[in-house]
Amino acid sequence: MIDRYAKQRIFLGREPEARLRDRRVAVVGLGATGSVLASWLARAGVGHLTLIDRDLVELSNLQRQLLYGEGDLGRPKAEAARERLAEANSSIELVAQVADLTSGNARELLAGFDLIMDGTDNFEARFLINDVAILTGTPWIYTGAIGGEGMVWPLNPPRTPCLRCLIEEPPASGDVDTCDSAGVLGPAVGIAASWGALEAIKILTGREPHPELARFDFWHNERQFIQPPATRCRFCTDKVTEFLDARWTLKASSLCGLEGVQIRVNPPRQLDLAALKPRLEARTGRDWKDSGLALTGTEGELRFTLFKDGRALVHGPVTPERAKGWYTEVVGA
Amino acid sequence: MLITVKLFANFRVGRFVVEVRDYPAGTAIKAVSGSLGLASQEIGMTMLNGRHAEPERVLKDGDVLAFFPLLGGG
Repeated sequence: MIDRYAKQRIFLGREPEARLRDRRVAVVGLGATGSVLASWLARAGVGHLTLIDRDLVELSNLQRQLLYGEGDLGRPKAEAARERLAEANSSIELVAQVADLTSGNARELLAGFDLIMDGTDNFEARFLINDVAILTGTPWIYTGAIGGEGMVWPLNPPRTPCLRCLIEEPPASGDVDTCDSAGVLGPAVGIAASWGALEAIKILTGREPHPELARFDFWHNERQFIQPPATRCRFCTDKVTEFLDARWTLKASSLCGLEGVQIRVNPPRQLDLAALKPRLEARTGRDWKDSGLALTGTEGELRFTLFKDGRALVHGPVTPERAKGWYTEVVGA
Repeated sequence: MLITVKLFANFRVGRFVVEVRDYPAGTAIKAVSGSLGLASQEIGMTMLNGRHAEPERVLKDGDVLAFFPLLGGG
């Protein structure tokens, strides 16, 4: 029978290939890596994909984030990704979650999956995913890329080491390169993420993934396969989930690659955007736009986006402290 | 004792790609990274003879040691 999956069935075999239809995968982060991860898994016919991303599509994303076009600018990535993936495969279940992964919602957002794919661009999210994996036994695949480099590491603690067996704590910002400091090449992210998606298909069809951490410098023609730590850390051994247990309420941090600040709340809350709109218009003397998902407007030289889940983006010359002060004044602590 | 030290990505800036370096017997990995000015929080992965190794591991003559930063972007 010639159907959508005929060619991969020839390679994988009937029974392993059919397993993909019953599998549920969460893709956390729908940026450059997430676009590629989700595309391959959707086209391969993974039965259910939950697409989790907190951001809106911006012009500087289009160089490497393959799921989006110019018509998507300003739209939530999770929503735009769901639409684009449904065009590629309407026979699978696709759920978009416009959400910021925090300790307050990670357990709930990442419950009930056969595999969690890391499409994130930050270590805070990865350590949360690692904690969920430690707690639930769900396998996950680390995919990172920067500059012309990429790395992929399939993890399934306690069968394998966990992320904290390799690095105990997330590096502080400034200790690692970001897309802001080192830049990033689209094809480098694409290769790393395709490698991650291939490892995912192994796991979802019942095969063992590559046991080593694969690290590539595509630009300098280098690759290494690093055997993971031989011993287990106390965190995955004793199921200590410090990142899931962390209780913070408000964080402000500089945006990667852009002038501005992101404000996050934990746990995510429900803002009444319709009620905030007249208050902000009175405060700023300007019109604010309520899209249902977000409220946008300007004050002075700063452009603000307030999301329904309480998160905010402040674009323009502003320090995290000042942005946090504005937020507390307008929305509350 | 002679240790082959390999550096990757931005660790090479102002340092080297690969060098055979002489260290006294009993030198631990963290002393090598320290001698190169690499802070522990910068180092994502340390590979000793192809396998991940802890900073406290004591080296022996002929070891091949590699330091990599973490790749966080996506």
